[in-house]
Amino acid sequence: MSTPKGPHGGLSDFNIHHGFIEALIRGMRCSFLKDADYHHITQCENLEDVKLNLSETDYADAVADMTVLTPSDLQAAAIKKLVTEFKYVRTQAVEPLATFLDFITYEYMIENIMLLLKGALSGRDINELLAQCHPLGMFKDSTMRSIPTFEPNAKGFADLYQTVLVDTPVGPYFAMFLQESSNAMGGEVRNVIEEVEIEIIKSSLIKYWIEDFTQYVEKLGGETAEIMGDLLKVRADTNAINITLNSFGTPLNEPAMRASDRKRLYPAVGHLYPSGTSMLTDVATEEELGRVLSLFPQYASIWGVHAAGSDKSIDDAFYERDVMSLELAFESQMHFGVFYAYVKLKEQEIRNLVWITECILQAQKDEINKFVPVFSFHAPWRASASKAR
Amino acid sequence: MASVEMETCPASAPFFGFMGVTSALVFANIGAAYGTAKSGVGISSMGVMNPGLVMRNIIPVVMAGVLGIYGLIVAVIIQGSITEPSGGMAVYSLYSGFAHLAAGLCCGLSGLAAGMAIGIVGDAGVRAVGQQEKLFVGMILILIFAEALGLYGLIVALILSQNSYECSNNN
Repeated sequence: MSTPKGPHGGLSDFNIHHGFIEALIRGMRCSFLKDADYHHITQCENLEDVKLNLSETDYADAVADMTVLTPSDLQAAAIKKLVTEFKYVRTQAVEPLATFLDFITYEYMIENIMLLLKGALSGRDINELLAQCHPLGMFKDSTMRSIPTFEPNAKGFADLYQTVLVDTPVGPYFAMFLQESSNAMGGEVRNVIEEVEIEIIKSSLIKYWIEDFTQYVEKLGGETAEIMGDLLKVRADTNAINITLNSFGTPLNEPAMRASDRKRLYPAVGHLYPSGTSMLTDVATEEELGRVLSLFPQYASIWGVHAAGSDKSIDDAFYERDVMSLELAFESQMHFGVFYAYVKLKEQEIRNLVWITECILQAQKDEINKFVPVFSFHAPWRASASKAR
Repeated sequence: MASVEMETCPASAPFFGFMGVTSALVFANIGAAYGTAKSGVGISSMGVMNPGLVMRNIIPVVMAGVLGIYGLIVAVIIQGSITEPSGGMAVYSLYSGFAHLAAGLCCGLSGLAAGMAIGIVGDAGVRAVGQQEKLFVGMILILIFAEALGLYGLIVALILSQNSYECSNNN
């Protein structure tokens, strides 16, 4: 039929290879905390009550072993639960879904490598750092341990790439970064990699990852390209706006640095690309940023939240918009977007739980409702629908 | 004179007539099935978060079903006009056979096209209505235009099925 198919099949043949796994994900979708659960948890007076309430949800096994619930323990247990579910789905997957799921993990690999490098700079203990790494992005233990042992300069970085990172799936991104930075510096060597530099490296790597992922989903075609393409564009734009916003007041905002360095960090995908990002290159203050963003309707409202200076921050506005788009991925079938959406929405739920438990711990009850519920019938953007009923 | 009559009324003429019946029903049903399946998937996905909207959004499925009924009507009408041989001679001419085949293909393939359009529009439409209810009227209008294609096929098929030529029994 004329339904656009990808290599993964369309309406009639997606289920042959991926039907079982999609059914798994849809089943796991039911495990998200509901409005009633959030209501009970936010009413708790102390963390013992929270543990009691959580033991009636899907987190029962995760909290069963904890004698005393703390926010950081809860976060670790919840992440471990997510990783177990993800690994189970990954073992059931065949190509091209297997590569797609691997792409999701590359982001965490990049984060882990950057964490190890930053930790090495501040001289922290390797075991402590390994415990902090995200489980979805782990390499072999020997690989992980060798990363902080390299010298923190350009030559050490190149050595690190040649010996360790070239074999990892994220090796190509490092190769592109080293290529680009040696081109930009005209072959000169940077003497010291400081804290700020680590952030720039991370932004560049994430940018390459987003571009690579976008190319892959475009190749898959069909509904996956449509839905994932949109989600990745939104991700790329969020990164571009955050990079610009965070660069105010740092050396990256100097006119000389803006065109050469900051511009290189903007991803080559997204609604803001290419006209928006070229405008963002010249932005020096928040006012100018606001003017550029008001040209794009989807970001004008988010910028309005930031400019209004209310207690909702721009990150909250971004999270809300992300949850809205990720929930939409579940509204159609026969595509891979549900897997990415599941991981990201679970992360949002973990963020919510950490926020709520921290508020309870610090007895700040008036802040407690500032989380973004997932699949909620009372979500702010669903307000009109629920009022009409 | 006799050879023209022989050519116009061979024994194989009813083949074309019955193929017309088949194509009317089968292709229209393929279109209806596709429309029902595609929009059904959309309704199920949308209905999880908006259960109240499901009954209103059943309309694409109903419209797809109507295409199957068009195919049924045309098939029954054509089938009623295929006369059996009498007195050892064929009564049903090749002319009627071709006319009925044309009628069947008209209705069937138009129904197939309309069904595909209704399926795709219905799927995207109901999911959009789940997010923005004001789109409902727009979706209905688009579906009506898609349904009209099947209706045109039905009308032309009914007109074509009137064309017939009976072989006279005097040779």
